[in-house]
Amino acid sequence: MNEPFLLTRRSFLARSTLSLGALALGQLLGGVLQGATNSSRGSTGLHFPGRAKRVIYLFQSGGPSQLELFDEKPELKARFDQDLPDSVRMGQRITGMVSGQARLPIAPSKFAFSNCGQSGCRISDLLPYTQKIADDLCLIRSLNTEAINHDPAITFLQTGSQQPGRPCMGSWVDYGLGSENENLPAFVVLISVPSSGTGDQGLLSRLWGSGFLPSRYQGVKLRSGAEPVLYLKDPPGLERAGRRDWLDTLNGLNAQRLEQVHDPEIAARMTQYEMAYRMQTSMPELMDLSNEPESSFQLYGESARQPGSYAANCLLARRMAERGVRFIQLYHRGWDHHGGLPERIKVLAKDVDQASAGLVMDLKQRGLLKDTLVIWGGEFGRTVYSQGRLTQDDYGRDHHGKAFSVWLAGGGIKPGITYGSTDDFSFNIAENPVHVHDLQATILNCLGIDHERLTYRFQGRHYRLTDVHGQVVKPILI
Amino acid sequence: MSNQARGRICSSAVETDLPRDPILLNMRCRESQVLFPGRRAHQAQFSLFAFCALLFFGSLVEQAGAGPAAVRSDSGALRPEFDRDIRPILAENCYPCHGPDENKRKAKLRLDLRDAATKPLPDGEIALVPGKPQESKLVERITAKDPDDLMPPVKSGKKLTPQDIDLIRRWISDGAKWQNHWSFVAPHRPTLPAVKNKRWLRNEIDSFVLARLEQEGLTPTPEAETSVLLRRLSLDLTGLPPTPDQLRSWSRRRDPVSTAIDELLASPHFGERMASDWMDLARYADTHGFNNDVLRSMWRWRDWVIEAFNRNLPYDRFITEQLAGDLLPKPTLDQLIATGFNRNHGINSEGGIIDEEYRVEYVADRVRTTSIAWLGLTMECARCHDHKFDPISQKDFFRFFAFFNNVDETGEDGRFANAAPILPAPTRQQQLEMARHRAELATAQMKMQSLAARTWKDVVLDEIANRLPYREPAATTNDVLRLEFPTSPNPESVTNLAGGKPFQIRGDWLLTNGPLAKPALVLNGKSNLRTDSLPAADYSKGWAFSTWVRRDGSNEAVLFSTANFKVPPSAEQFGEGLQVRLNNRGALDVRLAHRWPGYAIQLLTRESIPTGEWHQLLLTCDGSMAAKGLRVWVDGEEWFRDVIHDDLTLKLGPTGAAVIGGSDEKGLSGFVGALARPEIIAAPAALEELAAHARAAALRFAADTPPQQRTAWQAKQLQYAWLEQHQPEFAPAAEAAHSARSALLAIESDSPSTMVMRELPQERPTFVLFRGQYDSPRDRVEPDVPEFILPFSKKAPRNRLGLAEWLTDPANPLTARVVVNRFWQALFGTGLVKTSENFGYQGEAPSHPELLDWLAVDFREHGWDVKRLLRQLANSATYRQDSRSTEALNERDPENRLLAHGPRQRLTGEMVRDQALFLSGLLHDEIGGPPVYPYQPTNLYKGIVVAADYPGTSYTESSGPELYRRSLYTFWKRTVPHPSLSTFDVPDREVCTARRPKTNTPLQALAAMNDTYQVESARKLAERMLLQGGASPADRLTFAFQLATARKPKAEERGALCSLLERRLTVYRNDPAAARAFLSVGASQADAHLDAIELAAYANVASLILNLDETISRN
Repeated sequence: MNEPFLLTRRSFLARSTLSLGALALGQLLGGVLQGATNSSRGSTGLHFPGRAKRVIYLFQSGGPSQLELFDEKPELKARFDQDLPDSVRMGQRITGMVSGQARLPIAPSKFAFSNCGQSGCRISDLLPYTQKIADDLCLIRSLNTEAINHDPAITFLQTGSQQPGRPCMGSWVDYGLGSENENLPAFVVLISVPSSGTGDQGLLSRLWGSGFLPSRYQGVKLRSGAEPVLYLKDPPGLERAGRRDWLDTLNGLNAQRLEQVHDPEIAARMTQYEMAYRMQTSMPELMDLSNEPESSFQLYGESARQPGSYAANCLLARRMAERGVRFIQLYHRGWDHHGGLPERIKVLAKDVDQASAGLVMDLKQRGLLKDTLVIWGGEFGRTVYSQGRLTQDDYGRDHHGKAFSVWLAGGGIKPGITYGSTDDFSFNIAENPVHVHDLQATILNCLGIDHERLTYRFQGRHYRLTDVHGQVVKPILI
Repeated sequence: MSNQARGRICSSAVETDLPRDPILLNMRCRESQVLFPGRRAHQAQFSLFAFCALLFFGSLVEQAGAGPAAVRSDSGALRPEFDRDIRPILAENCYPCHGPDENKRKAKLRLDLRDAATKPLPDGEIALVPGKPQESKLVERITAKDPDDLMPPVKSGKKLTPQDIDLIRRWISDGAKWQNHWSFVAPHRPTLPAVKNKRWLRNEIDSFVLARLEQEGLTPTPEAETSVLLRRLSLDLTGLPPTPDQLRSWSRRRDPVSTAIDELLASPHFGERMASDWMDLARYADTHGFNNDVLRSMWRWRDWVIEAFNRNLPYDRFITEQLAGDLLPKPTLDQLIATGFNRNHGINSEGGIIDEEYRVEYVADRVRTTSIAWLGLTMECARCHDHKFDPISQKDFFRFFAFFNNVDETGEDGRFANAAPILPAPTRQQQLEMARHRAELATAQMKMQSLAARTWKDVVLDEIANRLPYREPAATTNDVLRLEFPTSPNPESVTNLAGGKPFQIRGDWLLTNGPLAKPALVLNGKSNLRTDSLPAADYSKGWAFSTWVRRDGSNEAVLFSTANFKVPPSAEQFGEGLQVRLNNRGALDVRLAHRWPGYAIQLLTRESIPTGEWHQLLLTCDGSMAAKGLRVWVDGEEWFRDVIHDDLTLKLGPTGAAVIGGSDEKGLSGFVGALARPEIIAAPAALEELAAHARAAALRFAADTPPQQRTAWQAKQLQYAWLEQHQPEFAPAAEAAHSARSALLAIESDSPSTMVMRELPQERPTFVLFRGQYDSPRDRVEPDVPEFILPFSKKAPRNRLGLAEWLTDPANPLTARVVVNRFWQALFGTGLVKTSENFGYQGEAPSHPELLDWLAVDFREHGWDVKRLLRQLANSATYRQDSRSTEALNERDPENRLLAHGPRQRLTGEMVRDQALFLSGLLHDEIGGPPVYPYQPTNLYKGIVVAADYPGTSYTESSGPELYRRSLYTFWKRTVPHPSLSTFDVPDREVCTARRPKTNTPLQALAAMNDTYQVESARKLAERMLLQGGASPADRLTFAFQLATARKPKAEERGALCSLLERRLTVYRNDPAAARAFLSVGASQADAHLDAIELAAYANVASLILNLDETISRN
């Protein structure tokens, strides 16, 4: 090993630094590239100043029942097992699962609601912790979608189109605003498993996919356990210093190559290897909850100690918000209660209530709520009539897109208000309808993005998240 | 670095103030721009190129400030051309409101047609006055000072640049000459342009490229180093790098490159490489997509594509067979399989979806895919309204839609397996075996016939009858249906001796004598027997239904039914149950459904039951949910059957209410004819016994029938029965025929299934759907094509076959251009038309229009010969150039659209993996077959996929060589694609994709460093280094470096590698356990003869070599 051409590592690096600066270049590129798309604009928005710098979307997959949680209809008690009046349905389409059902009998909710906070907002007793943060929430009871089945509905809410192929909301935001952190991805996805064990409905990686946007805008799905990001861990037997040495050598050789062939992609690749190296440190640090104080677990609930639980993911969401992750997308599955709803919804409500409220409170106490937009809701609501057998104790509800509830908090949204209302059957909207595209437009607006101007040209057309629709819901903005 | 400085850089890369020269258009990064207020105030998208350019070519800031006009100082002298310069401005900024879409048109002004644009508007103003910009209202409005008057409107977010306005003004001064859009005019073969440096030319391609370079004052780059060029070729044409042996053997030839091209085009891996690109366009996947994302079987189609490229199927045939193979005269199995192209779209099996809504989506997907793949048009834009930019009306969309709207399919299907229409698609091996068995069958049958002709005499029938064993079967506790026909006059009901409720008699019926002296029921089509309930039974071990049947009518009729297959299904039952039908030609049509038709089995026998004859029918089910478990026997002989549906989701048997001779379903005719001994038995004994018994009964009945009343079939059966006993040669022949037939049946039912196109017998009417919605039909339309491309031939059939003829018609201006452009893209990274999916107004103009036309015409005139085309491309001096660029060239032409140097691209996701496996010696390069399951991070599907345990919702890693197959064969789950590949930009295949984005992300770096196959490949490559690479570290590192890059490392490079090796050796000497740990990654064993410490250190360096930019690029 003493051939004359062998250089010491130090002298090699020195040489390459002189010519191009392999290491420095990597760091410089990384820093500046990220810088180019970061904080200076985060607070100022893309098209106009936005109050929110980031989004935490607590997605409740399966379609939580608004009738049991947020949209109280006490008068329905008197209509138990009566047929849904035709004047309410007005021939609107219902799913293939109940379209052959002989009757559509009304199933009043079994659960009580209470006045909450100073606003007096009525929230179900199934959500005692959420009740406590009522004054921080903007509860929308008039969200609506055309979709009536899971796949199209969830794809619609997350991508603005019922059919596959479009970028999701997080990708749009990443594309528009970029990252605030050079060590972490801008758009991160966390999926929890319900304590009921099954998630019923599948999620689809297109929900965090970048569609026709370049794939660098796709969400990075984090996993619980030793390797939060795919392929993050170095193979066994390659120690950290060894990886650094390996990477320096690699970048050195790539830098020489760059000098010869002048392909800027090589420089970009060197940057990405450096970013990967940094992620190898930053991700485990992010995921490590061992240094969280005891108070965090009191706030989010004991289940936050359990990796992969909804509560743990909420806690992680806060840690990511602190570190400047732009779009934090959580999914919790299991809300698809076609039958046995009263028992099943209790389990789900317990899964998410404390941690969702804990997250809002935590963000607030850390001063992060004002520039973090938190959203809680599913892809549609559920029908007032029972699917399958209706008894005093048991019933199921089918999908219902005409009217359902979602709450927002922080990030420029007025706290302590409700917006929109439904008819006596929580079937149609009585006032202030909010369409899915309106919600999307409003979320982008909070971030300082004009939804009509955040476009991407693909196949000859300028596409946007809200297609050709969407109105910002101004009354709920601060 | 200040924001301002960045902004200036960005404006050079992102903004639009460039002349509309095709090359410079590319610099606008049109596809990645965010529209900003004022367009310069904020720069969200930071062009990587621009940044790098800044870093390395610091002087760019000043030059960018001077603007591209300085770069193209002569552009001012160019006369604006409508097609190149003006239409893009109008299309982008004006056509949304003043274009083809009538519904969105404002002020009745239309700017996409010259006549309309130059005639007076209702208010008397004229938008365009040729020759007089000052009198043209358009100029007034685009230059208006008052924001209320300004066009395009401020709120549209669109804004013309001063250059745009100047171009329009000059164009009007020049007479506002209109041109047809270039791609809608059929190409003709241009003459070759004159060039100065003739010595550089290798073929015609080079003339066009060089002429342009000389015009730009540029010179081509010298030819690449031969070995590097050979590597580029090998990767481009086969997706794999060359072996050292190949390199050696080629380099000894007089013309190594041409030799290599010929050999590579002849390699079976050529088809794999080409198929890999086609999978994206065809949105191929191994699962159905959508919510449940269940396994499907389309790999026979995928293998058809590989073979089609390998046998160099002319591309017009490639189009025709995929589009309309089923409509060709006497289509072959291959031609039917080919039609799977238009079945590769996602199929939704989510419970409760509205069937028609999704069926419409599938048809729309076919329009989208077909139009992108072969027309380069975004026809789907016209689904909801007239196209905003291209002259495609909504009516045009639905006329095109009508070609694909007649498939015998349903919206909700594919819950467990393939969705109808399906086809058994035996593999090549199975086809060979079938051919052999068919020959055996024919030989045996001929032998039987000739023996019969020689030896048959009228034998006393009693002799046979006495020798035919037949015994009435005893009743069993497993019986579900056993009727006792009453003998009393006018009975009201019939008892089911097996239990359950009695059958009510409906309508007029007669009792007569049936076979074997049993009473038979004569039904007239309106009469039947019905019970509310059959006795309960356990069908998990299967069931059998049998009856004697005599068909007297020729209408389609239900023989037996426990189900109503209403569409839409009822919520309670979904029409669950069994129907046995006879169609109008007497074939048996058996349907077993959980929910008709999406979750069902349907079989149709190929043979028919003749009218007026008694036959014994036996239907057996093995208790599985697969169509192959449902078998039909007539007179004890198993019948061949076609599987129409094979997607049953529950184990079912005949249960609940039942009707004999009809069904409860309205609108279905009842059976006309006679039935005797209808029986159902649950969990039957061996099927062979049932079949043998059925055969014995049939023979017995034949024997009992008086000779003059026997059917020809019965006479023959008796004859054969006698011959089997009396003619010593006959029995072996009969046995041979029987076993050949059984083997054929077995292969048929074991054949992989594939989804195909199949037309409905009756045309399904097509309507314009208002806003594209399935439930808003408007005017009815007939199949047709957009006439501005090429009118549909009057002689051609108005179906997919006619459509294929239209696409491949020499007068079609688009197809050949679109196709050659895509092959160009495959080799050069970027098409001559960069937007290879869009040749419409919004697509990009070609960088070398004449070259594109020349190639298109030449390709078509030479029989759409793909290998010939690729040979031309690869043999050109243009392709052979060294890929290195210079700073000046990067600045001038960052995307190398002028082709002043050779192509340099990152390998595709498939190639990154395949190459690593290949270099390490792990690759198992078998071609074709079902998908394989290479390493995938554990629990990748956890928390994502549907909770139900459907096929395809779990991932069981392959073992042995299957772990190392080419990536083309990796199981592709549409909703959770394999991360090794999707990280490197392999599209998810939800929709047709004509070109992949080329990204460069930290996740790619992580995957390339740490994916199991990468680490394992590094170890195996290290073994090769130690065993084959020579004795010294320098030799060994050179060996690996050269394998990976096809060039020798420079001294410095080798030095860096050696020095890393030294340091790794030191580390591992101090920590041998770490070395062993590093060697433990992957399923293959480390070579135990090698020193672990040394091997691990080499493996570390090998991993680095696999990660070199040069290694993962085609240079």
